[in-house]
Amino acid sequence: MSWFSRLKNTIHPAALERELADEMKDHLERRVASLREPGLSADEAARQAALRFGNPMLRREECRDIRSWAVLDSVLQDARYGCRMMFRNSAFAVTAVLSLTLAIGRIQQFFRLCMRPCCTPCRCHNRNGCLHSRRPTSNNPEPSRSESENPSAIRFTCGSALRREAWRAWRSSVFPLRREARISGATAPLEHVITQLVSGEAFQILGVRPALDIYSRRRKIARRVVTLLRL
Amino acid sequence: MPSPTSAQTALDLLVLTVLSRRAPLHGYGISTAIEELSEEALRIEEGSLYPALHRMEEAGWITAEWTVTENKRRARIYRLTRAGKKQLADEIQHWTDFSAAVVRVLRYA
Repeated sequence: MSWFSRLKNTIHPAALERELADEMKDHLERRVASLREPGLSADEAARQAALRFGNPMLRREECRDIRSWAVLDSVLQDARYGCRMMFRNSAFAVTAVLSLTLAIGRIQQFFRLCMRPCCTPCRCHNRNGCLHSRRPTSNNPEPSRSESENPSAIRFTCGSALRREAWRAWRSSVFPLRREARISGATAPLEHVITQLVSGEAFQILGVRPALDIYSRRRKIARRVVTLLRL
Repeated sequence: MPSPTSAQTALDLLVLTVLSRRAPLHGYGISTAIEELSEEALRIEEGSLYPALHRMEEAGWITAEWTVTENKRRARIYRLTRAGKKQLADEIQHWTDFSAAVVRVLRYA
Protein backbone atom coordinates (compact mmCIF):
# COMPACT_ATOMS: atom_id res chain seq x y z
CA MET A 1 0.00 0.00 0.00
CA SER A 2 1.52 3.28 -1.05
CA TRP A 3 2.10 6.25 1.23
CA PHE A 4 -0.28 8.18 -1.00
CA SER A 5 -3.19 5.87 -0.23
CA ARG A 6 -2.38 6.04 3.47
CA LEU A 7 -2.32 9.82 3.30
CA LYS A 8 -5.62 9.77 1.44
CA ASN A 9 -7.12 7.45 4.05
CA THR A 10 -5.92 9.78 6.80
CA ILE A 11 -7.26 12.97 5.27
CA HIS A 12 -10.51 11.48 3.94
CA PRO A 13 -11.28 8.57 6.25
CA ALA A 14 -14.92 8.24 5.16
CA ALA A 15 -14.18 6.02 2.15
CA LEU A 16 -11.98 3.73 4.22
CA GLU A 17 -14.62 3.58 6.97
CA ARG A 18 -17.24 2.59 4.42
CA GLU A 19 -14.99 -0.03 2.90
CA LEU A 20 -14.18 -1.58 6.28
CA ALA A 21 -17.82 -1.51 7.35
CA ASP A 22 -18.90 -3.15 4.07
CA GLU A 23 -16.27 -5.86 4.37
CA MET A 24 -17.19 -6.77 7.94
CA LYS A 25 -20.91 -6.54 7.23
CA ASP A 26 -20.45 -8.94 4.30
CA HIS A 27 -18.60 -11.35 6.59
CA LEU A 28 -21.36 -11.22 9.23
CA GLU A 29 -24.09 -11.72 6.63
CA ARG A 30 -22.32 -14.75 5.22
CA ARG A 31 -21.89 -16.19 8.71
CA VAL A 32 -25.54 -15.58 9.56
CA ALA A 33 -26.59 -17.31 6.34
CA SER A 34 -24.38 -20.32 7.10
CA LEU A 35 -25.72 -20.55 10.66
CA ARG A 36 -29.30 -20.39 9.45
CA GLU A 37 -28.79 -23.39 7.14
CA PRO A 38 -29.05 -25.98 9.96
CA GLY A 39 -32.25 -24.30 11.11
CA LEU A 40 -31.30 -21.56 13.59
CA SER A 41 -33.63 -18.59 13.87
CA ALA A 42 -32.50 -15.30 12.34
CA ASP A 43 -32.03 -13.66 15.74
CA GLU A 44 -30.07 -16.56 17.19
CA ALA A 45 -27.91 -16.81 14.06
CA ALA A 46 -27.18 -13.06 14.22
CA ARG A 47 -26.31 -13.35 17.91
CA GLN A 48 -23.93 -16.27 17.35
CA ALA A 49 -22.34 -14.59 14.36
CA ALA A 50 -21.74 -11.43 16.41
CA LEU A 51 -20.24 -13.52 19.22
CA ARG A 52 -17.88 -15.25 16.84
CA PHE A 53 -16.85 -12.01 15.21
CA GLY A 54 -16.06 -10.03 18.34
CA ASN A 55 -16.27 -6.26 18.63
CA PRO A 56 -16.54 -4.86 15.08
CA MET A 57 -15.86 -1.28 16.20
CA LEU A 58 -12.57 -2.33 17.75
CA ARG A 59 -11.60 -4.30 14.65
CA ARG A 60 -12.45 -1.39 12.38
CA GLU A 61 -10.32 0.87 14.51
CA GLU A 62 -7.39 -1.56 14.33
CA CYS A 63 -7.72 -1.77 10.54
CA ARG A 64 -7.98 2.01 10.27
CA ASP A 65 -4.77 2.41 12.29
CA ILE A 66 -3.01 0.03 9.93
CA ARG A 67 -4.24 1.63 6.73
CA SER A 68 -3.74 5.25 7.71
CA TRP A 69 -1.17 7.28 9.62
CA ALA A 70 -2.40 7.12 13.18
CA VAL A 71 -0.12 9.92 14.35
CA LEU A 72 -1.19 12.28 11.58
CA ASP A 73 -4.79 11.31 12.15
CA SER A 74 -4.51 12.14 15.83
CA VAL A 75 -2.79 15.46 15.07
CA LEU A 76 -5.54 16.38 12.60
CA GLN A 77 -8.21 15.48 15.13
CA ASP A 78 -6.52 17.59 17.79
CA ALA A 79 -6.13 20.49 15.35
CA ARG A 80 -9.80 20.32 14.39
CA TYR A 81 -10.82 20.17 18.03
CA GLY A 82 -8.50 23.07 18.89
CA CYS A 83 -9.89 25.23 16.08
CA ARG A 84 -13.45 24.48 17.14
CA MET A 85 -12.70 25.40 20.75
CA MET A 86 -10.82 28.53 19.69
CA PHE A 87 -13.70 29.84 17.62
CA ARG A 88 -16.17 28.95 20.33
CA ASN A 89 -14.35 30.93 23.02
CA SER A 90 -12.13 33.41 21.21
CA ALA A 91 -11.39 35.68 24.22
CA PHE A 92 -9.96 32.78 26.21
CA ALA A 93 -7.99 31.59 23.18
CA VAL A 94 -6.39 35.02 22.62
CA THR A 95 -5.45 35.26 26.30
CA ALA A 96 -3.94 31.77 26.29
CA VAL A 97 -1.94 32.42 23.11
CA LEU A 98 -0.60 35.72 24.42
CA SER A 99 0.38 34.16 27.77
CA LEU A 100 2.16 31.31 26.06
CA THR A 101 3.96 33.68 23.70
CA LEU A 102 5.23 35.81 26.57
CA ALA A 103 6.25 32.76 28.60
CA ILE A 104 8.11 31.17 25.69
CA GLY A 105 9.87 34.45 24.98
CA ARG A 106 11.00 34.81 28.58
CA ILE A 107 12.23 31.22 28.77
CA GLN A 108 14.13 31.63 25.52
CA GLN A 109 15.75 34.79 26.87
CA PHE A 110 16.70 33.02 30.10
CA PHE A 111 18.29 30.11 28.27
CA ARG A 112 20.11 32.42 25.90
CA LEU A 113 21.73 34.17 28.87
CA CYS A 114 22.45 31.04 30.93
CA MET A 115 23.38 28.51 28.29
CA ARG A 116 25.44 30.67 25.97
CA PRO A 117 28.77 30.06 27.70
CA CYS A 118 28.28 26.27 27.56
CA CYS A 119 26.70 25.89 24.17
CA THR A 120 28.74 28.18 22.02
CA PRO A 121 29.60 26.13 18.95
CA CYS A 122 33.15 26.05 17.75
CA ARG A 123 34.28 27.11 14.31
CA CYS A 124 36.55 24.39 13.11
CA HIS A 125 37.42 23.21 9.65
CA ASN A 126 35.33 20.06 9.81
CA ARG A 127 31.74 21.27 9.88
CA ASN A 128 30.14 17.84 9.41
CA GLY A 129 31.31 16.30 12.64
CA CYS A 130 30.21 16.72 16.23
CA LEU A 131 31.48 17.47 19.67
CA HIS A 132 32.98 14.29 21.06
CA SER A 133 35.15 13.15 23.86
CA ARG A 134 37.42 10.48 22.58
CA ARG A 135 37.70 7.09 24.26
CA PRO A 136 39.21 3.87 22.98
CA THR A 137 36.94 0.92 22.19
CA SER A 138 37.81 -2.77 22.19
CA ASN A 139 38.06 -2.73 18.39
CA ASN A 140 40.45 0.15 18.27
CA PRO A 141 43.77 0.62 19.94
CA GLU A 142 44.51 3.20 22.60
CA PRO A 143 45.32 6.59 21.19
CA SER A 144 49.01 7.24 21.03
CA ARG A 145 50.70 8.65 24.10
CA SER A 146 51.45 11.96 22.53
CA GLU A 147 47.90 12.17 21.32
CA SER A 148 46.32 11.40 24.72
CA GLU A 149 48.55 13.86 26.50
CA ASN A 150 48.00 16.53 24.00
CA PRO A 151 44.81 18.53 24.52
CA SER A 152 44.31 18.46 20.77
CA ALA A 153 43.33 14.77 21.13
CA ILE A 154 39.92 16.17 22.02
CA ARG A 155 38.48 17.00 18.66
CA PHE A 156 36.00 19.82 18.37
CA THR A 157 33.73 19.75 15.42
CA CYS A 158 30.35 21.20 14.76
CA GLY A 159 27.49 21.13 12.27
CA SER A 160 24.56 18.77 11.91
CA ALA A 161 26.01 16.19 14.28
CA LEU A 162 26.32 18.84 17.01
CA ARG A 163 22.62 19.52 16.68
CA ARG A 164 22.03 15.78 16.92
CA GLU A 165 24.10 15.64 20.11
CA ALA A 166 22.19 18.62 21.53
CA TRP A 167 18.93 16.83 20.76
CA ARG A 168 20.19 13.71 22.56
CA ALA A 169 21.31 15.79 25.55
CA TRP A 170 17.91 17.45 25.71
CA ARG A 171 16.18 14.10 25.47
CA SER A 172 18.27 12.61 28.26
CA SER A 173 17.48 15.62 30.46
CA VAL A 174 13.75 15.32 29.79
CA PHE A 175 13.77 11.54 30.19
CA PRO A 176 16.43 11.08 32.86
CA LEU A 177 15.79 7.36 33.35
CA ARG A 178 16.22 6.57 29.68
CA ARG A 179 19.73 5.48 28.93
CA GLU A 180 21.27 5.40 25.56
CA ALA A 181 24.62 4.34 24.27
CA ARG A 182 25.84 4.91 20.76
CA ILE A 183 28.95 3.67 19.08
CA SER A 184 30.07 5.79 16.22
CA GLY A 185 29.10 4.46 12.80
CA ALA A 186 30.85 4.54 9.48
CA THR A 187 29.94 8.18 8.91
CA ALA A 188 31.41 9.39 12.17
CA PRO A 189 34.53 11.45 11.76
CA LEU A 190 36.54 9.52 14.36
CA GLU A 191 36.93 5.78 14.27
CA HIS A 192 37.12 5.15 18.00
CA VAL A 193 34.55 7.45 19.46
CA ILE A 194 32.01 6.36 22.01
CA THR A 195 29.28 8.75 22.99
CA GLN A 196 27.26 7.67 25.94
CA LEU A 197 24.25 9.54 27.26
CA VAL A 198 23.33 8.52 30.78
CA SER A 199 21.02 9.77 33.48
CA GLY A 200 22.06 12.16 36.22
CA GLU A 201 22.72 9.47 38.80
CA ALA A 202 25.23 7.70 36.54
CA PHE A 203 28.14 9.25 38.43
CA GLN A 204 26.79 7.87 41.71
CA ILE A 205 26.18 4.44 40.19
CA LEU A 206 29.66 4.29 38.71
CA GLY A 207 31.20 5.79 41.83
CA VAL A 208 33.06 8.38 39.78
CA ARG A 209 33.34 12.06 40.46
CA PRO A 210 32.51 14.20 37.48
CA ALA A 211 35.19 16.63 36.40
CA LEU A 212 34.69 19.78 34.43
CA ASP A 213 37.44 20.40 31.93
CA ILE A 214 37.77 23.65 30.11
CA TYR A 215 39.88 23.78 27.00
CA SER A 216 40.60 27.14 25.57
CA ARG A 217 41.60 26.83 21.94
CA ARG A 218 41.95 30.46 21.18
CA ARG A 219 44.32 30.08 18.34
CA LYS A 220 43.29 26.99 16.49
CA ILE A 221 39.52 27.06 16.94
CA ALA A 222 38.77 30.61 16.07
CA ARG A 223 39.00 31.98 19.62
CA ARG A 224 36.18 29.95 21.02
CA VAL A 225 35.92 28.36 24.46
CA VAL A 226 34.42 24.91 24.52
CA THR A 227 33.40 23.22 27.75
CA LEU A 228 33.38 19.47 28.05
CA LEU A 229 31.97 17.48 30.94
CA ARG A 230 33.69 14.14 30.99
CA LEU A 231 34.39 11.21 33.27
CA MET B 1 8.30 -7.90 15.03
CA PRO B 2 6.47 -10.86 16.54
CA SER B 3 8.37 -13.92 17.65
CA PRO B 4 8.42 -16.76 15.10
CA THR B 5 6.15 -18.81 17.34
CA SER B 6 3.69 -16.12 18.41
CA ALA B 7 -0.03 -16.36 17.76
CA GLN B 8 0.21 -13.51 15.27
CA THR B 9 2.81 -15.37 13.24
CA ALA B 10 0.75 -18.55 13.46
CA LEU B 11 -2.28 -16.70 12.11
CA ASP B 12 -0.16 -15.19 9.33
CA LEU B 13 1.15 -18.65 8.48
CA LEU B 14 -2.36 -20.10 8.33
CA VAL B 15 -3.76 -17.26 6.24
CA LEU B 16 -0.84 -17.27 3.81
CA THR B 17 -1.03 -21.04 3.44
CA VAL B 18 -4.77 -20.98 2.73
CA LEU B 19 -4.32 -18.16 0.24
CA SER B 20 -1.44 -19.94 -1.48
CA ARG B 21 -3.64 -22.96 -2.18
CA ARG B 22 -7.18 -21.60 -2.50
CA ALA B 23 -6.86 -17.97 -3.60
CA PRO B 24 -8.69 -15.81 -4.40
CA LEU B 25 -10.68 -15.84 -1.16
CA HIS B 26 -12.57 -13.29 0.93
CA GLY B 27 -12.17 -12.99 4.71
CA TYR B 28 -15.08 -15.26 5.46
CA GLY B 29 -13.73 -17.86 3.04
CA ILE B 30 -10.33 -17.77 4.71
CA SER B 31 -11.78 -18.26 8.20
CA THR B 32 -14.05 -21.14 7.11
CA ALA B 33 -11.17 -22.76 5.21
CA ILE B 34 -8.98 -22.68 8.34
CA GLU B 35 -11.80 -24.17 10.39
CA GLU B 36 -12.57 -26.89 7.86
CA LEU B 37 -8.97 -27.87 7.24
CA SER B 38 -8.25 -28.08 10.97
CA GLU B 39 -11.50 -30.04 11.49
CA GLU B 40 -12.69 -27.22 13.75
CA ALA B 41 -9.70 -27.62 16.06
CA LEU B 42 -8.59 -24.09 15.15
CA ARG B 43 -11.27 -21.46 15.43
CA ILE B 44 -10.01 -17.93 15.13
CA GLU B 45 -11.97 -14.98 16.44
CA GLU B 46 -13.26 -13.90 13.06
CA GLY B 47 -12.92 -10.18 13.71
CA SER B 48 -9.20 -10.52 14.44
CA LEU B 49 -8.68 -11.88 10.95
CA TYR B 50 -9.28 -8.47 9.35
CA PRO B 51 -6.55 -6.49 11.12
CA ALA B 52 -4.20 -9.36 10.22
CA LEU B 53 -5.30 -9.24 6.56
CA HIS B 54 -4.86 -5.47 6.40
CA ARG B 55 -1.49 -5.73 8.09
CA MET B 56 -0.36 -8.32 5.57
CA GLU B 57 -1.68 -6.17 2.74
CA GLU B 58 0.27 -3.25 4.15
CA ALA B 59 3.39 -5.44 4.25
CA GLY B 60 2.84 -6.32 0.59
CA TRP B 61 2.32 -10.04 1.19
CA ILE B 62 -1.23 -10.05 -0.17
CA THR B 63 -3.31 -7.86 -2.46
CA ALA B 64 -7.01 -7.13 -2.20
CA GLU B 65 -9.69 -6.01 -4.61
CA TRP B 66 -13.43 -5.59 -4.56
CA THR B 67 -15.29 -7.98 -6.88
CA VAL B 68 -18.78 -9.36 -7.35
CA THR B 69 -18.95 -13.03 -6.43
CA GLU B 70 -20.95 -15.76 -8.16
CA ASN B 71 -24.00 -15.12 -5.96
CA LYS B 72 -24.02 -11.39 -6.91
CA ARG B 73 -22.50 -10.19 -3.67
CA ARG B 74 -19.74 -7.62 -3.40
CA ALA B 75 -16.73 -9.02 -1.63
CA ARG B 76 -13.16 -7.98 -1.00
CA ILE B 77 -11.01 -10.86 -2.15
CA TYR B 78 -7.38 -11.47 -1.31
CA ARG B 79 -4.52 -12.93 -3.32
CA LEU B 80 -0.98 -13.87 -2.42
CA THR B 81 1.85 -11.80 -3.91
CA ARG B 82 5.37 -12.88 -4.72
CA ALA B 83 6.60 -11.29 -1.47
CA GLY B 84 3.86 -13.24 0.31
CA LYS B 85 5.11 -16.50 -1.16
CA LYS B 86 8.60 -15.73 0.08
CA GLN B 87 7.26 -14.81 3.51
CA LEU B 88 5.25 -18.03 3.59
CA ALA B 89 8.36 -20.07 2.80
CA ASP B 90 10.24 -18.30 5.62
CA GLU B 91 7.45 -18.85 8.10
CA ILE B 92 7.06 -22.51 7.17
CA GLN B 93 10.79 -22.91 7.78
CA HIS B 94 10.54 -21.16 11.18
CA TRP B 95 7.55 -23.26 12.14
CA THR B 96 9.19 -26.52 11.06
CA ASP B 97 12.33 -25.72 13.05
CA PHE B 98 10.29 -24.78 16.11
CA SER B 99 8.07 -27.87 16.01
CA ALA B 100 11.06 -30.15 15.39
CA ALA B 101 12.77 -28.66 18.46
CA VAL B 102 9.66 -29.25 20.59
CA VAL B 103 9.39 -32.82 19.31
CA ARG B 104 13.04 -33.47 20.19
CA VAL B 105 12.47 -32.23 23.75
CA LEU B 106 9.32 -34.31 24.13
CA ARG B 107 11.04 -37.41 22.84
CA TYR B 108 14.38 -37.23 24.63
CA ALA B 109 13.67 -35.35 27.86
